[in-house]
Amino acid sequence: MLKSDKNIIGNLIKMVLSNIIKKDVELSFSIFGVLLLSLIIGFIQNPFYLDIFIMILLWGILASSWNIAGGYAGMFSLGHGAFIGIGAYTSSMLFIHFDLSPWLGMFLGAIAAGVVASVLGYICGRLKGHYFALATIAFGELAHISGVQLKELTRGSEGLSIPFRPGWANFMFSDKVIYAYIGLAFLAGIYFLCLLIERTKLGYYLVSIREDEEAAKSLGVNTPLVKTLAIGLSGFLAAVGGTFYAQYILFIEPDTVLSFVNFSVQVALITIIGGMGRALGPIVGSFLLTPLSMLLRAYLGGALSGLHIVIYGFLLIIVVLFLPYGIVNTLREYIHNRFSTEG
Amino acid sequence: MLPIFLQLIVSGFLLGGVYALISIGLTLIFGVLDVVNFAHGEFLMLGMYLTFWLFTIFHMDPYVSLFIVAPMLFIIGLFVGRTVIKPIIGSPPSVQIFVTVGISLILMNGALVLWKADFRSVPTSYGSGSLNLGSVFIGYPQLISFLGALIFSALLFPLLKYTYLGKAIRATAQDRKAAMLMGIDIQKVYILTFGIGIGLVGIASALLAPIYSIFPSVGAHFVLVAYVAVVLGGLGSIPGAILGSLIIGMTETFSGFFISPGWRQAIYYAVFVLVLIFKPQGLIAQK
Amino acid sequence: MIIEAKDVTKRFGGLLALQKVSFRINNNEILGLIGPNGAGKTTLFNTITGFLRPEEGSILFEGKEIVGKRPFDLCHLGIARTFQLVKPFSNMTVLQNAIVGSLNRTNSVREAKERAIDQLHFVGLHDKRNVLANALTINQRKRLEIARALCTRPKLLLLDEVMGGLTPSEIHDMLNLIIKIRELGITLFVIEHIMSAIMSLCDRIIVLHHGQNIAEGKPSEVGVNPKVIKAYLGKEYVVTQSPKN
Repeated sequence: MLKSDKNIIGNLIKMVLSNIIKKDVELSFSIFGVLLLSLIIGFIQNPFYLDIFIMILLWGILASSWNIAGGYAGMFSLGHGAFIGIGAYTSSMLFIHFDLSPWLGMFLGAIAAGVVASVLGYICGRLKGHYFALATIAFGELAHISGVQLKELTRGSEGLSIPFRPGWANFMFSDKVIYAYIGLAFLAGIYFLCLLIERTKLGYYLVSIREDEEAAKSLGVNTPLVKTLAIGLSGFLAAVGGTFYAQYILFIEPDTVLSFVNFSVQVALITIIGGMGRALGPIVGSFLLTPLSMLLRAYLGGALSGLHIVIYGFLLIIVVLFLPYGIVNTLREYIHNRFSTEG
Repeated sequence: MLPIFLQLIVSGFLLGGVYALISIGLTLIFGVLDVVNFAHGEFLMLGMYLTFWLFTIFHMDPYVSLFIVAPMLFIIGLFVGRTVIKPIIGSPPSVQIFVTVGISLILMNGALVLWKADFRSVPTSYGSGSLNLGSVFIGYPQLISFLGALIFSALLFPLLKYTYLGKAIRATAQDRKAAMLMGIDIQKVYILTFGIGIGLVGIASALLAPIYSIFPSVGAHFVLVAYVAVVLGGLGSIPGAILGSLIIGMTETFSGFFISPGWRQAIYYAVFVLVLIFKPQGLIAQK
Repeated sequence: MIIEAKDVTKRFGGLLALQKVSFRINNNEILGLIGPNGAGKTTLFNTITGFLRPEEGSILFEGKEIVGKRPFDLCHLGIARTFQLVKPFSNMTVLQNAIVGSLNRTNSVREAKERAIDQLHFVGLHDKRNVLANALTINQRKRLEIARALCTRPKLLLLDEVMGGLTPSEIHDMLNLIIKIRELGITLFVIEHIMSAIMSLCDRIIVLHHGQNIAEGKPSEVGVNPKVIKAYLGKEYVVTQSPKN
């Protein structure tokens, strides 16, 4: 990095620290974290580590989108692959067939996913817990089947290859570092959005629905509307992540973006382990799980195909049994109990 | 056209009968433990592989190995119930869902690692023979499977109705707290019910082994069918599970005839979602 | 007259939970609802608050029909309630619980927080405001439920057995709290089993038995009503002469 860049960042940090840190610890630490991460990106030389970092950011985005409905509102979806896939396929197909910029395609895909998600949320909103999860699985699988069967559109199981024509308009870059910065920008965007939600009416209403939907209704919370909104937003953001995935990997197929195990389960898992219903949860979860699963797949996936998932499965069970609310929530409770004065 | 129609109905009915064994286990587990067992299909897969190995190594006829496979799966069910399922009863749905999804992943991929993805089969000598009733053909394995399912389902009813265990199970399903107050050890009930549910799957797996190819993810198809059947009939209702299974069996044969294989599964999922939306208590409204 | 209910009927399959129940609630009164277990009291509450829809009958709130409206719409109109088995938002703090209630009337969390703090002071939970709801005692949870409901700025507050599980001194405090709520101008409809509390608290009482309204009137009248005595204690206890007072 150039010396002038370091100066600018140094001054920014000083300003942030003096103005905000006293009033809002969470916000200032968050901004600091974002800046720190962007610094780290600049220092990563090894392309292998850069790739891992980008995937961490990507899964952070996808898991954060799940968290909005699943973590905050308790709408436990195991079909998010459908929304991710809608995003990935929409932007990619529009780019391949109509040369439409993937930025625009991303926006359109996100809207499509948001609409589909809202409809799903509205129809299935009355379903509770297990039933809702089952409905989302069915829905996710329907999306998967559609992806495979509608061959003229999606090239089916063969998958869709996105031609590499680098450039800002095409949302493709030869220099992978740019993907990292964009990923960080998206992730930071979702993260601050979640912080905002937490501090506003929507956030309170989402959590009230999760905690006790009947009580929430009796206090004036329009639960069907809020749930529809939650999952619509969740689907919208998941699709954004889907496009990012497509633009980075440049190859999508139903067994990735529309897959139950690889995507739908993964986003829920990351959030559960990291901490549901907290903005930081999915990010912590992604930093922990993404490198782990990538390394597991790299070392074990080839020779003994499937072993990495076996280990994954054990991990899942153990962590969920011991930390049912995730790392971030367990830590918060520990700190709360240790340091706060009983009122 | 009529002979085809008749054939489809008969085949569907027979198929539904076997599905019932899988579905009953699923609905029993949900009715008593309030846990949706996402790994149900993988236990079926396990049983099918066991049947396969007994056939291949010891040349044991599947209908004989049934009496080994079913108890083995019952014991495996007890073990899993004790170690993993019991702790999650009463936990938030996220925990329950993820534990059973985890089991599912372990079993499916464990099978993949150990036995590879190749399709296995249990070709019995009478496997391709069939009974001829007018214009309707009933394959021997299908018929035996159906009869087996019928017999074991029939055995289940007196078990539930007349034995202490059966009554304890029904009591726990109806009202957990009341059952506890009556002195029923519901922890044992949970574990035993889970074991029975998986044991039933064990019976089904031996009965299905001669008919279907065996591979690590074979459970996924059957569990989907079982879920639709169970939801159709009402989660927690055994008669409902049976009715749902018969309906699904016939849906499968009819859609197999009229719809391409790729979209066939979509039908189940669509039916599933529709039932969940419009009549989540199932056709026989229960819990 | 804030509530006018006519012929409210609710069926559950073959069971007739409410049979042509008619009554009225006057503005700013404390109306009691008593009756043996299974009489249909909570069911009646549920029909008024939109959780259940009666098959027949009408319920007018401030002159407008409310049958068919959803619970959250009714909360906006000014009907709030507590639940017999308290339903706190367990993983939220006391203050956050109350804020959810206040958000019924404002979109600003800051405003909601101010109102929430006022209501917490009112019920005496202010010093517990940062405690998680699942760490509260039963008495505190009942108070939280009331504070939360008050935050929604109701005109009518339905209390479902708020004194259940409380010690005598806690009951005494709760009675005072309810009287203070009435002094704010709110109308109260109260289900209670503790007879001494209900008799001293309420302006009027309705008695429900097997889903029917069998008596309505002042506490002193209802207490000696032969039908009421028969419902609770059996006809052996009905005295044909009125007792000396």
